[in-house]
Amino acid sequence: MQFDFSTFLVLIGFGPMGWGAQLLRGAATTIEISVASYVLGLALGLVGCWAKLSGGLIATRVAELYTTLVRAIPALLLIILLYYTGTSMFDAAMGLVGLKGRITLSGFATVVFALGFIKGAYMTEVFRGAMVSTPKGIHEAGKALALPPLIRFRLVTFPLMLRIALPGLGNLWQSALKDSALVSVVGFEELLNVGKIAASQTKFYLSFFLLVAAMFLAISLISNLFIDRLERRLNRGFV
Amino acid sequence: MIAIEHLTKRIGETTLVDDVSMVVDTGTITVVVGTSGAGKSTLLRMINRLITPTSGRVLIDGQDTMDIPEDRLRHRIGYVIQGNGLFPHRTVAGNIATVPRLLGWDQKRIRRRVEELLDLFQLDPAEFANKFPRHLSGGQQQRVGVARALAAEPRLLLMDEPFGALDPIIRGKAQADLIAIQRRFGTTIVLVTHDMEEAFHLGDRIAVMNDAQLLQYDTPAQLLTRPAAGFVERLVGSSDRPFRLLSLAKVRDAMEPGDAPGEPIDPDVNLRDALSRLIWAGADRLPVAHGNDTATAHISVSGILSHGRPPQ
Ligand SMILES: Nc1ncnc2c1ncn2[C@@H]1O[C@H](COP(=O)(O)OP(=O)(O)OP(=O)(O)O)[C@@H](O)[C@H]1O
Ligand SMILES: [Mg+2]
Repeated sequence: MQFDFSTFLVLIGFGPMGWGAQLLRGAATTIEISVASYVLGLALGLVGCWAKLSGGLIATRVAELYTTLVRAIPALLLIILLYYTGTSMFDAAMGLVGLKGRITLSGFATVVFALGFIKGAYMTEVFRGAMVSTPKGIHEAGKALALPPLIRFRLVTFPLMLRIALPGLGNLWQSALKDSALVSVVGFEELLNVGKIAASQTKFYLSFFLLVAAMFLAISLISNLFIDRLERRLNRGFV
Repeated sequence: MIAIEHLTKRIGETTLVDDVSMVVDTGTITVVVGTSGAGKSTLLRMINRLITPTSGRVLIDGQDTMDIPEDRLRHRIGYVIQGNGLFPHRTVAGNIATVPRLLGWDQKRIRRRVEELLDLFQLDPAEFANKFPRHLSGGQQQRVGVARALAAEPRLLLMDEPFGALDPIIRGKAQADLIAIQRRFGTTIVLVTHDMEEAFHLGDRIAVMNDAQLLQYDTPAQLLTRPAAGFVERLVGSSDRPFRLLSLAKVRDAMEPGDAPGEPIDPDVNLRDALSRLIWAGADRLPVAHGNDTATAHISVSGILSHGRPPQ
């Protein structure tokens, strides 16, 4: 079939024939999933890092099991597993506390949980590596100045660790963005899935897939601007 | 006053500090010397409870440190960490203000205190307050480290090799600053070094540690004239021992009645410097006088030399 540019413009527009609105909604969903799972991953990563470095024996073992398993099993398989077992496990848990059927897990929450759970394992390693490379004297100084633990973490440990972790965290953000496309496997309508549907219905396969690729690239480039800004801020005093 | 009683720290099989007892008088400088790994830092860190002793206790003005809440204790004790320990991501002013902020001082009082401390260490606040530690020289960083430890006006200051990284000239300057501060605020100071010269220069008393044990705790003069057999003797018994002894005594301790010709020497000059003056002037004796007063006493080479050996 000959590529018809004017038809393609109509198809990606916002008219009754157009996929524009759906594509934008897909992109928004992609960003939502990515951000939410990334934040969940950050939280899990901090907890995991704490467990590995200063937790008790059991906490350390659990954290090790977590990072080993998650990093060994393909993300796609984990998502399928977590998506289908996650909902029933959640229902079972709710049943235990007598809330059976009252609160259910939305598809969005399940997907975010699955992706965040995977990201958390990588975050744990990034944070742990950053933590052990912060200068030891700094922690001692914080203690000697009698900064309470939480203030010490917020004022000293966290900013110094974050600075070292940032390149790793930047990478993980890029991969969170792309990994969000994996949830199309369970039929979730994020950017890639919308593109796929549009492509198969309109038969403009290559064009739609290229468009989706360009949209991913645009999101990624824009987020790079933020990361650079943060990096410059955290590097104050180091250059 | 700090009373250290039978303080011991063991980790597994190793003993880091072994049954150390000593008393540090209020308003004095005590210097802890010893080879690397002797347990000096460990001893220091047990005083502010960064390390919990295995046994023994530390009393500050009669109160067991274990009975004082950790944060209250540490706000009363300034600690200058080995290798300065400044926060690299905070400005000089931010570093110094850490504890005052935590204690909830108001902005104006904090700014005044920061400026006062920077002035004290001859760092122009306009130039240095907003710099980051990385942009300071090693000596300036050290001084900011001391300023930070002094910020909340502690009565007690622990210093772990504070002048280790400094060149001789800056080091001399920093030592003079420290003595001036100590005189002005009456701060009690415990300072760790492995430089004997520094120990004799700063210490009202010197504690010699080796292999986790406190071998001798005495005044510099006692340490020179009556060193404990073995390690201490080897440590202080070098060929310049007489000169060290001379630098501990003042002209006023050795002067004799009667005038002498020549340029007068101040009675507060130490005997080592006085001897240098005599040698340089090619004189056997010089008058002693304060400023432009007329001399009624003199100092002689033989009078000085008799102070360079243990009393018979
Ligand atoms: N957590 C620890 N576990 C086991 N041994 C330790 C520990 N911390 C320190 N040590 C050992 O205890 C000894 C005393 O250490 P400390 O830091 O008090 O020495 P120091 O006299 O301050 O030495 P330096 O002059 O090199 O600073 C050293 O041999 C050190 O290796
Ligand atoms: Mg040490």
